[in-house]
Amino acid sequence: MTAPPPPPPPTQFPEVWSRKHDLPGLPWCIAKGVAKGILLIFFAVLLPIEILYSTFGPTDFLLHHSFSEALLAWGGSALAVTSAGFTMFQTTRGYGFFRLANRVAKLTYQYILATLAIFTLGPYAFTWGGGAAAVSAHFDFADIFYLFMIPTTLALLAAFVTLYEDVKHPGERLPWDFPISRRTRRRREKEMAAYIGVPPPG
Amino acid sequence: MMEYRRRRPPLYRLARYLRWSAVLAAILVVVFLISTAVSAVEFASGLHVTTPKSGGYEFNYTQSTGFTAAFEANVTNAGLYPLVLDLTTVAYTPQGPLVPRTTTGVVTLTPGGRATTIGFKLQIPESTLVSTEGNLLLNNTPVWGNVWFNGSYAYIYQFGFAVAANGTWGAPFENLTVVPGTPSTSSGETTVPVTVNYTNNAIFQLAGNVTIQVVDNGADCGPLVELPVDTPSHQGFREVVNLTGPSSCMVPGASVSAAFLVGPASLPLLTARFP
Repeated sequence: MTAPPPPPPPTQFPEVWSRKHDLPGLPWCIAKGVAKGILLIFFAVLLPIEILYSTFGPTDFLLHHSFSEALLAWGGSALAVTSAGFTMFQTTRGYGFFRLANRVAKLTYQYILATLAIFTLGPYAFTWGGGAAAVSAHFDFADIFYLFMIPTTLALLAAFVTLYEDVKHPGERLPWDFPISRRTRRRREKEMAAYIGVPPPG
Repeated sequence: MMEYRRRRPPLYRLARYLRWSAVLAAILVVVFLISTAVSAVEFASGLHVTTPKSGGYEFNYTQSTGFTAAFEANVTNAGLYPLVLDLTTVAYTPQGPLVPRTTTGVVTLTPGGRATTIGFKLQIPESTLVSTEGNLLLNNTPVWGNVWFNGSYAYIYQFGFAVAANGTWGAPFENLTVVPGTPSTSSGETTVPVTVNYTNNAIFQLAGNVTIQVVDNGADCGPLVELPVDTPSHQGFREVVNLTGPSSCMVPGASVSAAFLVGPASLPLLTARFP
């Protein structure tokens, strides 16, 4: 009995060896996106509503603010959904679009908050010897939101460039966004060394 | 494997630089906001107000300027950012403005522990106090007043405070009557008892001298009598003072005029005819 002949060598390297990136699987991306969305719903919707209404209360007749529950709910949800979206689609061409949508939503939300960012107290009316008086006060902190619109605008520009890159050169960013890990690289080096019959480096 | 070390594509680099700039800008904004909060705490803890004038205010009356009330305070800002203030007030009566629109102007409390003087001067001209439409010293005229105060701190926080009030003026000589009695002549001199009656409706105690003099055809005639008054707020005053003078003055048709002395100045109150 003679040994069977060895299998013929493959006509080309396995495709996985030529990949320049190490993309996570779609289920992993979706799980990350959902987790991020849930966290953002908590931090961008539930927490602000709770803080606002536990601090000032909707029934406080003296201290007024214009941040409605609906605004906080819709604004925070828009941020959460778009943010979850770009995390889910990070490995696809939809990433740039969701990233841009997220920055547009954030910029719009910050602008709306800035226009409403004023607390008013009173008017508190009282009488005094032979007369009546009313006292009122206000505190305007819109500039805080306008300041935060500066980094958001820069991030919006970045998202626009990413969208353009995804459309013009699909997949160009993937090797740098998802570089091959050291562990994977070593494994591939071993596989390649075994294939060509030399010991792996190191 | 060497391929991974090649230069990143231009669009990718541009997007990355923009993202880094956004993160850097966000960090700067947060640091600035934290510094404003720290500064506000330092300002509140190091707030030091001194008043160069006794009690912080000074009342004055001259015929040229009328009644003035000057307030002055030195305020120290121990924070990191400037505090800009602007206080304005105005008051009206049915006859017109009682206190014209008065403002401190824009006052900047510079940071670094330096004291800044804030001055405020209210002025009621004599013509307003003793106008032809109604003497404010005698009539409890309705008054509307507004005081509002605007400020900004650390360039980004704006705040304001407003008081709108209405009430009565609180005339110090409300319902003042000066009633000359029947003249009596003795040893060539004529004496007229004059009854002075009023209610001090002001919020302050009225102390000073009321002068009473007989006038005939607009000219002073006979002696001037100073009647000391010291009336607590919301209390009445009634006193009879005897005017003695030549009988030529104390004739029907002549009048008795009363005025209130404020320092060297004299505020006319009213004139009453002899019976």
